[in-house]
Amino acid sequence: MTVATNLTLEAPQSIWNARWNRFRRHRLAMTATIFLILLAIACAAADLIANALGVDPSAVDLFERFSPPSSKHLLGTDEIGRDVLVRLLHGGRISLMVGLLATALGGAFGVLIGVVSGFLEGRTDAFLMRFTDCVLSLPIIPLLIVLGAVDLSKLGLPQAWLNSPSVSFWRIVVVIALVDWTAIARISRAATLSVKHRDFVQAARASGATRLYNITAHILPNIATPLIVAGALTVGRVILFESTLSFLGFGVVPPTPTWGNMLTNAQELVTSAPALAIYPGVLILLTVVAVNLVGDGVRVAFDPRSDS
Amino acid sequence: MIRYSLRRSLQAALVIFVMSFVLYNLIGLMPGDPIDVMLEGNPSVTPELMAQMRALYGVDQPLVVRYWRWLLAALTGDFGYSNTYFRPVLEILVPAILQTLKLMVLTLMVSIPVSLLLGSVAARRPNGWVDNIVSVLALTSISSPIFWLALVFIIVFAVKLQWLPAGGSSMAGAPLMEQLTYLVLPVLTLASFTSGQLIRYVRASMIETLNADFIRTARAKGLAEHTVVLRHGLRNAMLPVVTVIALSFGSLMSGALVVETMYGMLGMGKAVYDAIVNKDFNVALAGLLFATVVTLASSLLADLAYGWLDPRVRLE
Amino acid sequence: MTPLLDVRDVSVRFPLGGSWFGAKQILRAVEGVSFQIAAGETLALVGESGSGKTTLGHVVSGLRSPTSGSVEFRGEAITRSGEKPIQLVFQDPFSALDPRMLVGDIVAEPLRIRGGVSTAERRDRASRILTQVGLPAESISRYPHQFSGGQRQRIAIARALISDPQLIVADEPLSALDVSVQSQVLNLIKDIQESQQIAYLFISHDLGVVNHLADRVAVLYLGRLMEIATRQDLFERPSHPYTRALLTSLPRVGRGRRLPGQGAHGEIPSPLSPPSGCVFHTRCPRAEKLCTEQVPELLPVEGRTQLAACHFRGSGP
Ligand SMILES: Nc1ncnc2c1ncn2[C@@H]1O[C@H](COP(=O)(O)OP(=O)(O)OP(=O)(O)O)[C@@H](O)[C@H]1O
Ligand code: SF4
Ligand SMILES: [Mg+2]
Repeated sequence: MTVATNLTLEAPQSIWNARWNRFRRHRLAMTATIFLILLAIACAAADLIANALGVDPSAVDLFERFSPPSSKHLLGTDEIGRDVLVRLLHGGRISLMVGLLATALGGAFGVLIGVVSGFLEGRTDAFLMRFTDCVLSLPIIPLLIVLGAVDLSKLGLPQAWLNSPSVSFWRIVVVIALVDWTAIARISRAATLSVKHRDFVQAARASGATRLYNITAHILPNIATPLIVAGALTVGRVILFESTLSFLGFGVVPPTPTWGNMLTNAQELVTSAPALAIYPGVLILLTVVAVNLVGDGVRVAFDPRSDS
Repeated sequence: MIRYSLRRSLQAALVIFVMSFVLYNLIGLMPGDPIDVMLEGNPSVTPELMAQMRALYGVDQPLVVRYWRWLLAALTGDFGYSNTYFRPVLEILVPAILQTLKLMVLTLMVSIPVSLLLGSVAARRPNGWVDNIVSVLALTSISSPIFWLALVFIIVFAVKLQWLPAGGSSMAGAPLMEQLTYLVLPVLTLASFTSGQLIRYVRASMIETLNADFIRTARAKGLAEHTVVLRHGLRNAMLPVVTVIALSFGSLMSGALVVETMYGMLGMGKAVYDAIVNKDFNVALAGLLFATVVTLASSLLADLAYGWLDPRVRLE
Repeated sequence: MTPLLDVRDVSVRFPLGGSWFGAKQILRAVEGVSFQIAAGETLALVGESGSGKTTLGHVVSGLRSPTSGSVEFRGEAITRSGEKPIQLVFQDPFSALDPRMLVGDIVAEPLRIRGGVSTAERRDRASRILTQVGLPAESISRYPHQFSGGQRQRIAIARALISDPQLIVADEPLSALDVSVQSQVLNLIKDIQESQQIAYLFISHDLGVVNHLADRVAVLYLGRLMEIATRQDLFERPSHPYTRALLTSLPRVGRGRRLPGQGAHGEIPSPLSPPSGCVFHTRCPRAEKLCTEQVPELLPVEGRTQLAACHFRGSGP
């Protein structure tokens, strides 16, 4: 029929290459990424590190309270002689896991609400968005505390499970996810609205595509960019919520260490061992800053305009 | 516009009604029930007495009935009794609310001018060194857990430098200056916490307005740079900023709760926190509801203000 | 014999959100339009911007249900869901292709939605159809952003062709393209027209293009059909004043000049408050008192094959 027109065939992965290059050039974001990766590895390897240093993370040693940093206890020991570094790493595990899991859970819910809202429009949309506004208007910390204080046996959950140690971990994941999904819902809705009227969605509809097909095949892949950015910001916020809740005693309960509950006693120690009150907070701060910077880097990387 | 305001207010009232039901249920899910708490540790309590007390207080009624009774009473201003202080809930909450209000107002008086200043200074030369410093400050502010900020301030200003008290409040009738010293650290903490977000908004809003055509015109007319920034830029950047301030009441409230707990101030936040810890159901419920109403009212105000100022919003 | 497509008395009205000052307004995008398309026939739909062409195209392809009236395809009502032997080609080749999908998946999408075709076969057919529209078979493993506008439009055409449709609704497929590319794509469409038995509803601004492709032409104004005729009749003996106005400034192929203002003077009235009687009377050089009072029906012009909605149809300029 017609002669083939000239084509400059680039490598198929070039979108991702370009993004990766832009991200790499964002020096702060790269530093933050490396920091987070190292932190995650260190936290994952907490037990190995404890073994290598020859410390037992849960051993109470009243003769070694508040010992200063040494070759054995790199950051010293706490008020009952436990190794601070190893506890920080264990705590980091919880904080990072809660951050990721609660974001994933709340994010999934938010995406569901937002995409359905944007895709169906009309009354469903109005209702879901009013609901989102409602949740958004709640005072978040008091609400988290009440949710953290809820007696789960009154919800009819099996007692055997309630007694297991992982309950306080999962409870906080769920509690935070219940509260922090609104930003993602709004962003998904706005993004869905802008994608659904594009012609490729109409073309699929004309071929007989179902709504579900359009949502999974077209909408979700196309709203991924703003969602990744929003997700990164959410991880940072969740880590702050988790630490605050655990600090106040409504989150993960001791002896399981988290950055939040390691500070619970620090208030009494501000005169005797201020360093104990500094370390966990600095880690929270650095982690959340890093997560925010990564989010910023992703935003820049996905925005082709930032090339110029 | 009046219809719009009315409709939004009605919606808000409906939300408060729904939320009161949700919160009532949530509080009901906290451990124990009010009668257990009241009779806790009293050895002479028999099961029969418990049952009698339950019937007397209506705790044996279905949830919806209890909620309805509570709501009717609450509408007349009767939120029940505190079972830790044995006084009406309002008697405990009202002074606490005033204390929190004082904290919040003082905080805004610090954080708004500071944010406007830093945000607009940073916006004048995006990515210049001033902007970079301000951005780092803002990023640190939004990335710090507020309770830890409080700890750091206590360590630095109260323990090391010994300039200020680490917490508590002054004796009744103490001189004003002494009263104020107790407020400095809480206000500083809460202001550091809220300013980060605000600075970011002011900066973004200013960058946008400073690039707008009318600003270029003003510059072209040869007006002094500070006149351009203040007279023309800031004024136009204010609309989104005012909205953000109104919308930030919720997080200010949350922050106040933590700050009050940290500094042992007898405010709303501490009252709610103590109530939850002590299973003081009525106080916790009323406190939470109050916090919800404040947050909702401020976002309603933000909406209405936006509606008045920007006619497009009204048509949705 | 039943026609392939039978559009009967279709109207589409958009209620515009309740205003604060008065009752809801109703926008009449399409009013009482009827026409038929036979198998393998190309009907061109022309009209100024906002005349309701796209809306009508959406109704025909089942993307929108009409407010009233019916659309039948081979004697059966068109539903908004389910499999249809109708495909679409859009104006904007950038919005028409999902930027996150490989071109092969885009082209094969109608088969995937219909189901029953293996992945390998879909790939196979996608690369075959891509070579048919003049693109290298390897295009299947590229992303849309690696192609130019004209190439993208070829991809969109390939997608429309892959499921062997009986009707393609093409909504101004050329008007977003560079002039040099327009004629290439036009030739491609022409080739397909000649080699395959597919009917087209070809929406266009460009009467030159229409003259090139159409078997019959329907003229739309403010959502109403003004005239419908074979191409030859319409271009040589237009019987509606509006059609004549359009033809007086016929652009040559490729220029793609927009219609607004051409020939007919004055502003197009708002579809929110269309003029009484004949909707064209505010701009018609022949308008008389009757025109403001009585709506002219779409009726046969004496001694001709065409239909026109004008009280004075057929009687000289
Ligand atoms: N979803 C909608 N809601 C409200 N009004 C609409 C909608 N879609 C189209 N319209 C209106 O209907 C009328 C016809 O629009 P349509 O897009 O069908 O015209 P068109 O002939 O395709 O114009 P163009 O040549 O500019 O593409 C216009 O006045 C348009 O504003
Ligand atoms: S009916 Fe009258 S106004 Fe309408 S096109 Fe014919 S002559 Fe013109
Ligand atoms: Mg159109």
